[in-house]
This record gives sequence, C-alpha cells and structure tokens, in this order.
Amino acid sequence: MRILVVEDEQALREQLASSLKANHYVVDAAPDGEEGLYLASECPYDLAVIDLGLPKMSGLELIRSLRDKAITFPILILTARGDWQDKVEGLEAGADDYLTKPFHMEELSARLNALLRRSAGHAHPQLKFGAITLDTVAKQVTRENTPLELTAYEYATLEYLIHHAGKVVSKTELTEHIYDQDFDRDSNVIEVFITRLRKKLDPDGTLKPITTERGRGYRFVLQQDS
Amino acid sequence: MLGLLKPLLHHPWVRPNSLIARLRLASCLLLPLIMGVTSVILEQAFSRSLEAATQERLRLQTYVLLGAAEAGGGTLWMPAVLQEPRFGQPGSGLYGLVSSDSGELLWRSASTLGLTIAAPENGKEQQFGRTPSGLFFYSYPVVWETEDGKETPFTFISIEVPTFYQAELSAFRIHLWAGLGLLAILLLAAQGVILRWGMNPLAEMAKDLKDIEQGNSDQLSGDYPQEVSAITTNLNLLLEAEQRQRERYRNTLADLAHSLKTPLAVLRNETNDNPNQMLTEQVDRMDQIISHQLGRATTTSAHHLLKPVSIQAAAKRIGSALEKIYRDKFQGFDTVGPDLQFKGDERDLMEILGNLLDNAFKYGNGLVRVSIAENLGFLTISVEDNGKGISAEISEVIQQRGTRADSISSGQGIGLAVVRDILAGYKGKLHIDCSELGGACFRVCLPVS
Repeated sequence: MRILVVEDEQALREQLASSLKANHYVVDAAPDGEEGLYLASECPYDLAVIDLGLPKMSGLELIRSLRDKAITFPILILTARGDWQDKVEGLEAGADDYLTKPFHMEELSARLNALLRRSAGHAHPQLKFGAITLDTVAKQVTRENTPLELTAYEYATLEYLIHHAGKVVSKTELTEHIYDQDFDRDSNVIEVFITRLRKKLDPDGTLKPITTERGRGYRFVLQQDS
Repeated sequence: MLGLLKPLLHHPWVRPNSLIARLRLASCLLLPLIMGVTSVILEQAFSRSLEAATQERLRLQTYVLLGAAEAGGGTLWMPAVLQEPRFGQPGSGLYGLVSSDSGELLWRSASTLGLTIAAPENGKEQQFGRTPSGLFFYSYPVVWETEDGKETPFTFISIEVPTFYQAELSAFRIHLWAGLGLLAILLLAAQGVILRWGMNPLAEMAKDLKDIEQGNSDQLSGDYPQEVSAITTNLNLLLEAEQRQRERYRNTLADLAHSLKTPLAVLRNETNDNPNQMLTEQVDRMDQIISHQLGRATTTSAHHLLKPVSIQAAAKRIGSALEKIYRDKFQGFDTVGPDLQFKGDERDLMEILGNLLDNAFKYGNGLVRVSIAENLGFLTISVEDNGKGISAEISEVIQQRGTRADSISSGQGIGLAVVRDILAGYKGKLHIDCSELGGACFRVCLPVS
C-alpha cells in the first residue's frame, strides 16, 4: 500500500514516514500542500495523511483540489487545533477521518488500516475467504486457522490483491503500490512472490486463489464469506 | 440671576431623566409666559382702538350739539329736539352738556333727567377722557362771537356710558383667550409630534443596540441623521474593534496550540521508540492541559454580541461528517424538534455537539438522535444513542463539580469535561439520562435569555 504523507514539521514527517515504513507501507512524504498535490497527481496512492496547517497550500485546499481532480483515495487529516469546526470542515472538504495531534502511532496505524479496508469495501477487519482469513489489524493470514508465515512483501502483495478482489491487478500496479520507487521494475520478483503465495495459501492446489490473466496481471478470485 | 437659577436647574424635578421630558417642561414653562404677554399686548391694542372709536363718535355727537346751538346776547339757546334722539331719551347713556367759561352748567340734554352728572373741568383744548366715575367724555370749547362783537366762551361736552366699550372688550377677551388657548393646545400637540419625530433616531438606535445585544445583528445598521450618526459611527467602530480583537486573541491562542501540538506529537512518537514512562505521562499531561486550557480560553465570554446559529444545521453538519467516520456501524442520524437558534459562538456549539455526537457514535450502536426543544425558559439539546448507556463511574466523573478536564485521564470522557466547561460559560448544564433508544441521553440545558 502506497501512502502519501503531507506534513510541514520535518521531525514529525520523518517519524511518520519511518513508522509507516516499519508497518510495510510504501511512503512518500511532502513538506507542503503544493508538493503534496503534485505527488498525488503523479503517483497512484492508496491513502493520504494530510496535516491541516500546511504552508503554500493549506490542508483543506489540498483536499479540495484532490477531490476536484476526482482522486478518490481515503484521506486522514491531522489537526493540531482539534476544534470540531476544523474537523467538520476537513471532513466536508473530502477527508475520511481525522486524528488530533499529538497522537499515538498505534492509533494512526489502526485508523489507516480501517480506512484502507473500508475503501476496499470491507466492513470488518477480518476478511474471510473460505479457509483463508486475512486479519488487517494483526496483518496476519491464516489458513484453516493456522497462521501462515508470510514475508512483509508477500503479505502486502496478498493484501493488495484481496482489497482489489475480483479485479485484474497488473504487475506495474502491484509494483507501484507495494514497493519503493527504487525497486527494480524489470525483475520478475513479482512472479516469484505470487508463486510463493500460491504455495503457502494453497499447498495442495485445490483452492486456486490467485489466477494469472495472460499479459494483464493477476486476480484474487475467491468469494468473501458473507 | 443665574446664580439663583443654577440650584433650581439642578433640582431633580427640574432635571428629568429624559430629553423629551426636559423639552416638554421647558415649553410648558415658556408657553404660558408667551401667551400671557401676547394677550396683554393684544388687549391693550384692542382697547386703544375701541377708545379711539369712542372718541370719534363722541366728537361727532359734540358737533351735533354745536350745530344745534344758537346763542344770542350772551345766552345759549338749545332746541328741544336734537338730531340725535338718544340725547332726548332719559337714561340712554348719551348725555350732552354745555357749560360756561366759569364752569356753570348752561344746558343739559333731556337724557340726563334724574341723573347728576358732573361736568369735567373745562380746558382750553378739545379733550377726550374718562370722568372720575368712569364715563367717556369729549369736551369742545368754543368762543361764540355774537352780532354785537361780544365773544362768549362755551364748552360743549358729550358724555357716554362705557357699556358698549366694556361689552366689546369682554367679548374680545373671550375670543382672545379661547383663541390663545386653542393655539396653546395645538402648539403642545404639534410639539409632542415634533419631539417624537425629532427623537425618533435615538429610539431607533436603542432598538438597533437591542438587536445587537440579542445577537440579531453585529452593527448599528440604521440610516441615522448627522447628529446621531457621529455616535453610531463610533459605536460601530468600537464594536468592530472589539470583534477584531476577540478574533485576534482567539487566533493567537489557536496558533499557540498548533505550534505546541506538533512538537508534542514528535515527542510522543519519540517515546514510542524509546519507552520512558515519565516522559510519556508528562507528554500526555501537557497535551491535556493544552486541549483543556486553550479550549477554554478560546471560548468567548461576550456571547451577547454574536449572531445566533441554527442548532439543527450545526447538528446535521456534524452528523453527516461523523457518518463518514463511523461508516461501519452507522445506522441512522436524525434531528427532531423546531429549528431553534443557539445564541453564542458557533465554535462553542460545534464543540458541544461534536463531542456529544462523537461519543454517541463511538459508544452507541450507530443510531443517534438529536432533539431540540424549548420550554420553561430553557433550551434543551438532547443527544441520544442506542448503545449500552453510560456507566455509573463516568457519569459520576461528569457530575462531580470541579473536576477539570486535564485531571481526567484520556478515554474517560475528556470531551464531556470540555462540554461542561463550555456550558459553564453560558450558565448551562449537562444532564445524563437513559434514552428510549436504549443507550445514553446527554441533555444540554441552556437558559434562553
């Protein structure tokens, strides 16, 4: 999952970036509204964390511009003032959630998870697909109640596919949302991850959770339990 | 003179507490004086013209006597019947006399029969005047030259009773006083109307100020006359300056909050990586102090100069914003009751409703209702949810007087303490009840006036 962080205070921006990276998010950080807007129009993000008090272009203006450009990823606003007036204005401008400074990183992480899950149309933090369960809070995948040992990249790949279940996800899309920019896009690492995921999720080859669409990408095909 | 007037003008009776009363008092004192002087002048003028008319008439009557007289040999002869019949009627009020140079009465008209009328003293000139008994007289001394060249002086006198004069004068007086009285009434009435009209801008200004006080307006909006507009312009400037200053004060505090909170966020995240309990606690405490104290400082105390805000509109705004956040559990949000106004700062209302609605969504099961009502001089806003209801412990914390938001640990209803603090500024109260929806019901009560 690729996250955009727009925060003018350098120390906080760096903390946010490193903390989110530690949670296996791909993070781009911008120090002001204008750069935030530029990044958001250039890269496909899954989520943005935007401070309301930004130089050059305020957080509110940034959110409005993003929504005007039909950019729909969820936005969480950080507000120092914590006034309801500010919160409501932010939410009305197009944000999806808010967090008042100072905040606990755990809380931010939980909120981001919830936003990502909701934007994928999942109501509960635990997503069950028959024998396979993805816990977006614990970032844990279980198969028939047995936890699977997944690397961070494998988990991120699977989570992205599941959040876009039923849709074809190209290799480029996966690369953009799961790996940092310096990742070597020509390598066939994605194929390797998919192969390993298939083995771990479906050791006996009966479920076939991920299909390969020739020349287009991959698709997670299992139906979610209602 | 002024020295005498001064204490009089400062007497409370003479210094009424109203401009209109002052002007009325002054005109009530002045009007009779003017009327009195006018009446004296007019009456004198009229009586003079009446006297002049009487003099003219008596002069003519004297000529009648003179024309009828014949004298010969030092004696005067008068005919029995004169041209003027009143001379011949006893008691007619018109009398003729002829006296000799020595004052001896030579002839008296038939009308004097039975009366003793004293002839006025003879003079050398024609005279008009009143006898000591009040009768008008006109005396005309002539020197009669007889055929033998002897000159005999006579004085012809006409006398008239002043009945006509007095009747005319008293009729005039009645007319005069009736006219003046009517004029006075008209003047007083006109003055009342003029005063009201003239003072109207002041009454309007009072009404405009009342509007501001009640929060329907933030400026004196009326089109005032020159004299008043000097005051209203300055008042408007004062109001504006007050509003600006309040805004600046609030912005400064908000900026302070902003600039303190970001470093606090950095510190808190740092303690996450290097756990230090003391540091964590202190950071939490600082955060709460800032939230509480700055929150309280930025709530206004001058509520009465603010425009009223629609409670329903604010509740709906917050409700639809929160619907986004609690999308997972959201079942419904509803506002019931009339669209009443909150007479205070919009931010305060947003803070009260925001905290209560957020709690209702957070602790309830997604169904929230806001009811607005007004009765017995209180505006009540109830926020209900369908959760489990409030625990006795938290209820106690909220009810406890003097509990400050910064002494409550996080998660124990810091938002409610903020609500209570804001309400205190409006002399309002927060009550906790059970809702018919099944959960808690937080009822905000605000005095209306």
